[in-house]
Amino acid sequence: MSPAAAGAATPSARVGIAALARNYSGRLAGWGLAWLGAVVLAQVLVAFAPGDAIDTLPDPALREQLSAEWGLGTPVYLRVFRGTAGVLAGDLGSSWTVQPGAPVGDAVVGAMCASLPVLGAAWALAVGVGAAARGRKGARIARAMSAVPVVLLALCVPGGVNALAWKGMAEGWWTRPAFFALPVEGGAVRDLLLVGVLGLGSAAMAEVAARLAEADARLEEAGFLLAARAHGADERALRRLRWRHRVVPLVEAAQAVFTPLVGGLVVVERLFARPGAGDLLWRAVELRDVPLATGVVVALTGTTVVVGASLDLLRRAWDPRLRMGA
Amino acid sequence: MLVALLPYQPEVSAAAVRLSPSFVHPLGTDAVGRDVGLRLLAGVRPLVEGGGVALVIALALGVPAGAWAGARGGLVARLVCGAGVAVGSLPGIPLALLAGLLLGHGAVSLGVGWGVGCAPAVLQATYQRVDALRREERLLALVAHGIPEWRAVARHLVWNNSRIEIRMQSARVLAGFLAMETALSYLGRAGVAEPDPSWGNMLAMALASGAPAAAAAPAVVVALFSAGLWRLALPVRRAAAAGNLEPAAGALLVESLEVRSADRTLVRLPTFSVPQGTVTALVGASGSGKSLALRAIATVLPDGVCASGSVVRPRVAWVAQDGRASLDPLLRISDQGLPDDPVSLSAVLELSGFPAGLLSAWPHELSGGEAQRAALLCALSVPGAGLLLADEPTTGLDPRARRALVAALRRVTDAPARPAVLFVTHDRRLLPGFVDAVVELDAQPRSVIVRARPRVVAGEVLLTAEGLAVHAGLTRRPAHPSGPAILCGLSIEVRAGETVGLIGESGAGKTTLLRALAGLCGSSGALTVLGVDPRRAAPVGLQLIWQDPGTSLDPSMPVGELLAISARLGGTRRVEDALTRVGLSHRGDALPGELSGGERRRVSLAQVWLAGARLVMADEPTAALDAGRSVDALDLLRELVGDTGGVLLASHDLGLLLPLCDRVYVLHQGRCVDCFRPDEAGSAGRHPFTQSLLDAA
Repeated sequence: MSPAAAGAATPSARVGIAALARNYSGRLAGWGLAWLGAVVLAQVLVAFAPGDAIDTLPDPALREQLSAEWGLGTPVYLRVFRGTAGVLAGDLGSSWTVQPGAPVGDAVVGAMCASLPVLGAAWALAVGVGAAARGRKGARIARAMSAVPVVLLALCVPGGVNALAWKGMAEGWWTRPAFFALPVEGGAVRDLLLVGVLGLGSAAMAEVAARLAEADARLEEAGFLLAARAHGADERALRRLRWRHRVVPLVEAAQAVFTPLVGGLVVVERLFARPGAGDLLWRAVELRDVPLATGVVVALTGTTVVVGASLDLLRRAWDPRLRMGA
Repeated sequence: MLVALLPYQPEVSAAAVRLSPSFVHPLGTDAVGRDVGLRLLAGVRPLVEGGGVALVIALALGVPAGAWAGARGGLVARLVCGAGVAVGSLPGIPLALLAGLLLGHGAVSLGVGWGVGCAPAVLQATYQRVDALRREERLLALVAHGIPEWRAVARHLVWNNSRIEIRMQSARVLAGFLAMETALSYLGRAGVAEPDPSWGNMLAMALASGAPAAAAAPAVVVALFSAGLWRLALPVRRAAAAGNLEPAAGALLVESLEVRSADRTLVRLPTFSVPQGTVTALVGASGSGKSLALRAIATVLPDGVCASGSVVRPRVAWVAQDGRASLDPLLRISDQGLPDDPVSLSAVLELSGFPAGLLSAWPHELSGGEAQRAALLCALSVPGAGLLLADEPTTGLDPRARRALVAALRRVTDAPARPAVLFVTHDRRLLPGFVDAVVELDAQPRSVIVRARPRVVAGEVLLTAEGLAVHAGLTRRPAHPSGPAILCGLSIEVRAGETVGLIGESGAGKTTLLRALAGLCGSSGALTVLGVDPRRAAPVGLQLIWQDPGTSLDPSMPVGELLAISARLGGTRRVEDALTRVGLSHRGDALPGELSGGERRRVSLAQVWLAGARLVMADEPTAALDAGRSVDALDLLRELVGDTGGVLLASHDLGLLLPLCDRVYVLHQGRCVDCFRPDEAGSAGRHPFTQSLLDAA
């Protein structure tokens, strides 16, 4: 029966659209401020780092010219203010050392386009496998996967397979299949995207599985589930009821593991020599390319904030208690 | 330190390159002649140094901020959590790289960045736990008991009740640091660089020198450490649920049902049956296992508990003790499995007494009585149910709501399917004229004795309130009230030696008024408690007893330790004496969770005595107690406070207050509408609401 059919003014009727809009817009404003705070924090950290990009240049005249051009002599607060204003205006400036003169915005967009598929696939893998592995045995497997840091996966799994494949061919155990484009011996396993995704996602599986296991333990003692079991609800109905109440913990877990996965891009892209935001950030930090490093951090934190805000709103849309501030 | 005692240093070449394992070099040497075993041992240093720094920073930033936000709530929580989100938006590895830029590369700088990056997760975990405890009103209960707020938060909320979550977060910080440090050290300069030992750069060295087998040792060590840390980071799951009894068709027949935990028998039920169309009550003293017996019959036993014996029953409908908890919070009442057919719907609405106007409400919007009727409505909607099981369905309801619910339960048996009803109660006054049979769980049933207390001469004024108005927005000790007035025009007085009652329907504001009188929520008007204004300073000698005794008892501390805290507040009485006085001398080592509701209530009375209370405000002090023990508990309370102290009792049960109180205030529609002495209760001219209460009692 629909709520409309029930008619009558209920307490929830008093929580109008305006109140809900205020609730949502307040949350969105909070996330926006969080992103701005992260942008300022990143710039402050980069600005206070000892040494500058010009320090390695041998020519003092050139050093002076670039210093003036890049504004290295201005106070930190002014640089941070200008940088933040530029970010808000959509102008991230030009790269100093990694891609001299190239617009940071273009470089960052290109890098993010390369990174997002890896990130998305790893995230989906972590959430999917973690959700499936919330039980006792599954959690053990997820824990084992998370216990193997990305380096070991990168080295042991593809390296072992590769070595075994080449040894087999050398010993004459098998011939190289025509349809299988086996990489050349050594090194080329770094191009295996799947391994990167697996390595990145595996680190977050246990977190998702752990959070869902905790939520399941609470759920099993919830009065409404006891009532449903006592009423003799069939397994299908109970499963549906449990999953309805797992949505919020699942969304929270997905939100919690997303930021570490974004950080993990740095390692995976360096390890597998894949161009992307993580790799770009690494090079920008190494070469003291402040605008580029700031641009990448802005893009990465922007991604985490957009995903975090979306999941936050999804959580509120799903759970009336959160939506109505109960 | 151990490494320094050895003949070789992990950074120094001491032998030929790539030596096989020997007695001197158990794991051989690497490509530049360094001892692999030694480097493996020393490779823990980055984890200890960097991980330690990360852990200290994450805990130092996250735990106090999370505890503060959780304890305060409101704007403070929003600001602190917002700052956490801002920092948490920066992923940990880029932060560690930036920290490396600032402080120079190495394990410590990685730890600084990682610690800052992980602090928001620790903050969030601490905040969620402390906030949940605050919402259960544990903090309010501790502060009202006289424990300083900072100590209540630090010791009871954080250390005693949140340390498992914090431990798991700590393990996650270390596991994450290990993975990151290994990866960055493997990649090169950003991590721990050669010649300093790190498992990451050992892997890189082994692979670069064409000796993949040499990578096995650091790989295994990293995997073992990582697995160990993740083991600490995951919650310990309880044992699997014991086997349940299978439901069967037919009337309820219970034969020698025994409910056991691993080491002892919890409940033993006699053989009995409940024929169709009849009502049977399962009664017994608090803690006798009535609810557990009902769960055994419904085959919904908790984990670690199993049942033996025989239960033959039809499909059941279930009404839990807390009506709101038995409703799915994500669905409106109308979507909780009610019949689609309007005729059937109006029939179950009529049977349950639930107002049709509230069908589109969410469960969290209902009052206690409405939620209980909604739970009954949902239970009646279970198709084909031949047995209604109700666990203390009248707990927390005022007399009129209780009578209405009892009438609804009676009506259930008149439905066309003529279902049987088995309900648990401790209120024997409900039984006459209502039930067809009683199953007694207590081996030695107590008789209900209502004793009249000799009147005492009232002494000095302990509490006086004139024109008090209580405001919405429950904040602790505000200097100025906030929000609109929800109670107004209240004038109350309690003198030494008096027991004063406060009566009103469920939701009338009795609890809110008690909190306002204790200075725990916003109010305006004149108020003096034990010589001070409680809104400005905590009155010495004031104690509150909460409706749920579990709220004020820290579940992680044994009873003896809890009472020791109260003894320190009072300073003159001994824990052993208190335990003896309340009849719990053998339960000093038990945790609150191991006590029955009645025993927990007696512990809270012992706390009051130990703290040297002169004025006690008790909110529904007999909830969850059977009638005989209710009177016992109130007599004990009166005895413990003594003739120089005063008691203010809030209850919805006028029958309980009348023989005990010297004066009763009546709360109705936000105002104090009447005040009478029990010996004048029958006189005419009372407020109509007072008369209706007197009639119901």
